[in-house]
Amino acid sequence: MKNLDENENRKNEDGLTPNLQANPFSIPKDYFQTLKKEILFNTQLTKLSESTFSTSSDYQAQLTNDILAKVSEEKLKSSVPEDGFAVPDGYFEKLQNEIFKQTVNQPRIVPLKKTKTSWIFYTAAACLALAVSLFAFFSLNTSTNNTVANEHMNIDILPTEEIINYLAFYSETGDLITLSDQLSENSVNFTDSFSSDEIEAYLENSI
Amino acid sequence: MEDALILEKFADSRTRDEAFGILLEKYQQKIYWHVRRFVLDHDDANDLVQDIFIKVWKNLDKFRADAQLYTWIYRIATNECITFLNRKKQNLSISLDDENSGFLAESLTESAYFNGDQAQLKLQQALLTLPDKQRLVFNMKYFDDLKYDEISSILGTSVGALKASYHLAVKKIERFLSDTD
Repeated sequence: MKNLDENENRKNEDGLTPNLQANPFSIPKDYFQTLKKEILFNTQLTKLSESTFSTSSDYQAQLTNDILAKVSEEKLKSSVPEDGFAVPDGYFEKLQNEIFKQTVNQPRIVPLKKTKTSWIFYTAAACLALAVSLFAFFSLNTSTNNTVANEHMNIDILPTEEIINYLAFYSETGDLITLSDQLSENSVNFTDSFSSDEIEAYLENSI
Repeated sequence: MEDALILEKFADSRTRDEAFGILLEKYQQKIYWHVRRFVLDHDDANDLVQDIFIKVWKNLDKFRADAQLYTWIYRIATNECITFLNRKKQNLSISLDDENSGFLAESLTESAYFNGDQAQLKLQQALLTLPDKQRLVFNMKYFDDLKYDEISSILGTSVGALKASYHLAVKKIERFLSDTD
């Protein structure tokens, strides 16, 4: 007994008796493996909750407006649950029949024979169109030349007085240009034939 | 029946009529009420709904399925309604700059097919003070319970603008109802 007491009382370098160094605490089985998993899981959760969700800058204001509108809507619906409109009895059945009458039950035009159009048909049609347009082009040109010749002849017959009156009434630049092209070289120096008053009067009337 | 199946049946000439019948069954009441709440008069709504579904019948084979079928039908219905009201305004020598359709209030009280009580009448009168487009937005959200995305597809207006329009409409109606109490 005395030796045991002596051993227990012998202190180590730290000043502690050896039996006080022993860890009195115990832990569940595989605790540290479980602890590691839990810590890793919690850190992942924390990362997720911090990062991904964002909203627009005016979201909160918009949300407030939405909620207030919804509240007003609910108040309105509770005081006026229906709109008050009614329909005649059996209306929707009649409506369906009316619509069918104008759509599904309309007589449909069905072609009796399906004709296969061949390339020969298109070629023939193209040739015909070309022939017609060529004929029209040449006949139009001929008639235009004849018309111009007729016009020249008609103008020659007209008295000068009438031509002057026409020009005075319908003063268009196009006419003047055409006329000036038709005038002979001798008539270029015609300014001497007109007095300044006549020229002034003409300009006043035509501009 | 799913819209995709209706379209498939409609594309086949053998089942086209059947498909159209199913489509009518599915949408005619929704479209009728959408139109009726906008033009108010039953006879006008009746004519419009028939025109709308005739247009659907004629153009469904051209429908590209880049939008939902019902938003396409709603869009046709909405355009027909707006055209109808504009025509009515012109016939009554009302300027098209007048954005609302207050002139319809008379037809409400005279109509044989309005059984609403005082509160319901007041709500309709309040709605007629709104610009037509705003009234449409209100009707689609409040009565038809459409989502903002759906209304946006129908009217071609952004969701933000629709929300603002709806909030404003609700406030105006509340003010009208409290002022006339």
